[in-house]
Amino acid sequence: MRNLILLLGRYGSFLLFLFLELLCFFLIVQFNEGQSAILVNSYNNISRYVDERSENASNYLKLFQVVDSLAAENADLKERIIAMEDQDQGISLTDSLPQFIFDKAQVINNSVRQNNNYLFINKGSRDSVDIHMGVIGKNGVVGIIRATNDQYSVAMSVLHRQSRISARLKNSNYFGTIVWKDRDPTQVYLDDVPKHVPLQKRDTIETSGYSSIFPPGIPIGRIDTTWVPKGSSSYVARVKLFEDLANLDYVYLVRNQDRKIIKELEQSIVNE
Amino acid sequence: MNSTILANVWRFIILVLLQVLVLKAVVFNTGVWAYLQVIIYPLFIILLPLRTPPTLVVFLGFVCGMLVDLFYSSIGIHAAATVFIAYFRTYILAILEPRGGYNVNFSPTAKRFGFPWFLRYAAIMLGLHLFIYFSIKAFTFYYILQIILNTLFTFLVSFLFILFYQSIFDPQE
Repeated sequence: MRNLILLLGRYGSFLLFLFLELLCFFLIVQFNEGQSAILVNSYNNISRYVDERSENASNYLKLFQVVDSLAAENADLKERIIAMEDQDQGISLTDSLPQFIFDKAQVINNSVRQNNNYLFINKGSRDSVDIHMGVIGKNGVVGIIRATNDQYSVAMSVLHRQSRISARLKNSNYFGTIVWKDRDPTQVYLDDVPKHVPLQKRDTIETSGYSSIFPPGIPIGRIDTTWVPKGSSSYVARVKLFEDLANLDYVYLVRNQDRKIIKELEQSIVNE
Repeated sequence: MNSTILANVWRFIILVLLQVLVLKAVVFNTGVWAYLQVIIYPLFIILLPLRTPPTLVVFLGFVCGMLVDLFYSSIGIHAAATVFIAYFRTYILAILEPRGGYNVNFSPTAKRFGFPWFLRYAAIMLGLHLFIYFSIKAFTFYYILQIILNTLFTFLVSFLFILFYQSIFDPQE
């Protein structure tokens, strides 16, 4: 009680000042039309501002869900495109099951500056991700799954010294192998294309589908320069990648349903 | 002591009556003169004796402002401005404190502390009061230019009135 009186003695004038100013404010907006209109208007402005901001924020948060569902839809569409192309070409023998199944995933860790680059992906064996599944970005080939655990998986990037991807010239069946030789993350090399092939600058390179990892026709890149090394019978072509591997977020994982059967067949030849 | 209180009570009555009966009628509708009002009742707060407890000064500011408000039919607006300067009077006085300090038995008048000192003190108090008053009257800083013009014009004329009052009565208490 004594302290309270001391407090009032020391801050009494301030407290009274505060109280009376608040009282005045209340009286002003209570009894003066102009000022109360301004107050109501300001209050509306502020609440509208806050509403807009919070709506923007929640819309922004909703975007993640939207992106996610769009990515799933894309994966589904890619699957159907591949299946339809197969049907068009009369390749598909079984109408019921598509050969290639697509799934969306997100890259959670990435590297492009190492000699051997890997991507970490937020889906694992729990989501039926398996080794030797292909990883495709929205513009083209990204890599191949090399290891999985329950929740995550690791993909060998195209930018890996041991990466070998079977590729072909678009709209033809001349094929070669995509390898990464220098340390530039935007370009790879197409090797083993025979000298007689009409390989030209600006030709588009896509997957051949021979490796039973990627479906045929997934874009890889565009030829930058070509040359034939001395004493060689095949081209070397520098290929600019379509996919910017330094900037990946959503990727698609592609599973070849028939891979097991094809591999068994290959084994039977080797065992002979 | 009693004469001081009496002097202040009389000053209160005279200033408020002068304000609400005479000076309230001084309004112009044309040109820049429309910005002009004459407001002198803050002189009551300005001239309260130095030893008046700060709490009492704030309270008297409220009473005085509210009384003027009743006649101006602007409940709370004058009161808010007057309470404001009543509270900050202590600090303004502290800033303007003469080298020798104050004699707390005095009132802050020109007779006690000299005309230049009073001029500065009254100008700060009145200017602050008018700025707060017109700001609250506009209730938004959207019209800051009008608020400043109002303050300026009203200040010039009101201050003349205050000096006039000062030279007529030349109060000691």
